[in-house]
Amino acid sequence: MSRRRASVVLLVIGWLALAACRAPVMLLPELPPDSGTLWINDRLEQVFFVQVDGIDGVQVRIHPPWEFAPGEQPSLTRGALLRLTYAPEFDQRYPDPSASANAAERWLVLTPGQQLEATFISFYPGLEGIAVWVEPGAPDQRGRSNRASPGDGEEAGELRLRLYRADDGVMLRESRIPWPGFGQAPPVTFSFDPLPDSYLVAYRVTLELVGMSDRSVLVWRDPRSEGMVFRPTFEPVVLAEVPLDRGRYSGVLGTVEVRFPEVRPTRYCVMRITLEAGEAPFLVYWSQSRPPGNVPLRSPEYPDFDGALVFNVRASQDVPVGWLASTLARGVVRRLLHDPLLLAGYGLGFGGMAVLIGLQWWRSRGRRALAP
Amino acid sequence: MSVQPVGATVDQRRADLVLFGIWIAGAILRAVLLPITMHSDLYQIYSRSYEAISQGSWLVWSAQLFAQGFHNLWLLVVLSFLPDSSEIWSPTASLAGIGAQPGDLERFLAYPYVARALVLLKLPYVFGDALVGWMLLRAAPPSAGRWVLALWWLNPITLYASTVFGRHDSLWIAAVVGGTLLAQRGRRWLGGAATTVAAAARIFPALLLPFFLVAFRRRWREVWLAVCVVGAIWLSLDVMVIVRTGVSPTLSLLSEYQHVRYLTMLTLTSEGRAALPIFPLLYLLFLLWWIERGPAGARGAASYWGASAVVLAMVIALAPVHPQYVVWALPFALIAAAQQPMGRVLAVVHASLFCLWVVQGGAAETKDLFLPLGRDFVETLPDPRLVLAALVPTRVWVPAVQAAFSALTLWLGWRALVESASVVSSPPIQQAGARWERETTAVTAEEASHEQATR
Repeated sequence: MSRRRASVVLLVIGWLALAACRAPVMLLPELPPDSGTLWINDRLEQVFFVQVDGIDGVQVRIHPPWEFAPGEQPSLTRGALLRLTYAPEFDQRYPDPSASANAAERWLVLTPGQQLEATFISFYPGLEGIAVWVEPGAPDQRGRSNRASPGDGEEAGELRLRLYRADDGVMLRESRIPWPGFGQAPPVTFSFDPLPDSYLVAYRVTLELVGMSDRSVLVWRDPRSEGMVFRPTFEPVVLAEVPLDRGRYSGVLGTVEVRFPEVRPTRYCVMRITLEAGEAPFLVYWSQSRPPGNVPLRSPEYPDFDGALVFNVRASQDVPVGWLASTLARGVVRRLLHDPLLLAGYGLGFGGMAVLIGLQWWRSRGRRALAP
Repeated sequence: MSVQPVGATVDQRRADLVLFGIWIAGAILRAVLLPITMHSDLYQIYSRSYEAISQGSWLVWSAQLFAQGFHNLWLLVVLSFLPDSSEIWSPTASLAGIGAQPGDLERFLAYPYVARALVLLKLPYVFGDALVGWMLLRAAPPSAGRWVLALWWLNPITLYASTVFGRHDSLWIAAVVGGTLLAQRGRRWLGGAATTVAAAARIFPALLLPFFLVAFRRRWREVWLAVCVVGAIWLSLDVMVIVRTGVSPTLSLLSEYQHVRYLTMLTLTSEGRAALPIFPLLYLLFLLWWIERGPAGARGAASYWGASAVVLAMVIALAPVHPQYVVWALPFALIAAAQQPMGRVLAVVHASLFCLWVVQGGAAETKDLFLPLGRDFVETLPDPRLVLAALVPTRVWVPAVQAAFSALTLWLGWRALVESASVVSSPPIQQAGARWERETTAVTAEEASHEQATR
């Protein structure tokens, strides 16, 4: 193979390698300062927001045990388990029912023949339902709920929810719930077959009251969007489950780090780490500084705890070097070509420099000619 | 440009070409980076300028009156090249504690002529870079010219501050260096004025003013007189403001101004005693040492040059300054560094370490500067601080890089001081190459004896 061919092949291979480049990144630049330790006897959960894809490891700051009973197998956490899952119920990008509960205008009235609709982006795969905050009845004069009582002999109907893909308007799912659903406290969840490819897809959802002519339904009103209060629900899935004892202990950081196969998608997701105690309790550190998402740790042993678990997450972020380089080059060229004045200015600047170089070159040649 | 003697050799022609190559390489880098990078500070300062122009409120931003005034005038000049730009500026940029809002910045980035705007707004800074490069070239010995120019004009630190970040420090660096060269040529008052103007725009040159006064004195009486006059004017102004507003601007400056606070942040603490700020302590110690034992009796341009290099290196190394201010450590240190191979290596290592050091500031000081290329581009770029954290624990690499960078910064400053001493003490024949020393104010016998008596 000639040298030229070899260099072309190398260039193509290099380009492809760079195009599929990945960089290891951490969730936080460093572990937050710890404020104390917590015994985990049962279970502890920590929710956090992630901006990268491909989580492949978790570091948890622990206080390793130094003494073991005779015959006991030495281990870092005595059989504790780490589980990684999505936590869409903490996702603040969907309407918050508690905000609606405190709002002055609390309800939207849905009557037969009317339709409420909303659009949303599913930030998780496996969309399998929509929970809607809905109550039977009509608002009274003071804006409070006047709930209809059961057994009035009213005609039966149903609430119908339809889910469309926002891009092309194709209806994907429909779910019906017989109404009135007395005794059912909000929210009412409309379930359907999970949509495995729902990650980062925009949807439109409509809600109708059908089969009733003289009744209305109160739907909680979101003060932020002024639409209905609803939250998508997703198929629960365990993304990774690893025994903590299988991890590596870092003496520098005081953490145990477990690695697992890359988990995708995780970009823009609210995630949850669950630590479950094994055969004996173990000690973790907590901090007053919370991770992205600003959610405190949750544990049945420590209700209303304000601090957060001291942990960090590792991921492999895709770095499409080719795309970045071409975007940069295109960005510069496009800006110049779209702005003739700027292009002319650049031309003038570099043209002037070229003239200067030429002049200097000509002068130095002249001097050389004069030299003895 | 260096002036060539008649009968230049082929080597000199090559040197010329190399110089041109350096100028062109730096110009191309700047031409590429200008329209695609910025920090919100650039937008803030020009938004305040627009407010000043459109509302006639020329004194709206009193904290940086002089620098702001310069930007007001420049925006006035270039505004006619930015059609339909009245809506792109932030209306809240001049409100302390609020500043430009993210929505304002989005509006600016969506402006159809944003590339032209960025080039025009940053043009004075590039001019400042070029002016400093040209002055360093004139001040350096011909043999070190190429290296001096390359270490300044192609230095990532210089490129970062003026072109990428879009900060105006190179303008005031040009004033300080220009002031030194003017004083060196006997125009002391003009040089002092240039340095004072720079000190009015940025705090760092203010730290050089005592050195300037002492270095370019004719008699000690002049120094004391200048100190008394400046002190009296300052005190009068302070008292006037206190009478009118009840607030002392001096105390406000010392206690509230962010850049002053940086200088006192690094402290030695001892239980039961007030913290001892390290920079002011070392600064005063150095000033006293330099006056007492400095090269050439703390007199002349070379001595001042070395002292300035040390002071500015101390500021950068001993105060937690932002990366855009690191450029201040360069101008006075580079000529000495460029003259020796080891100095060049250290300067290159220093610039490389800066690229690592700047990462500790996170996305806001690195990848977010490419926001004019679009949010997609910025979000696709990994945050270099998080990448490094995945490779080496932050608590390990940050102190190591910080220590190495600070040490090198100080060392480059120290080298400049040592070099200035050697230039001053070497016989005239050896000084032929050092143009910066050759034109140092000559001390006449009469002046020397008078000074001795005054001391």
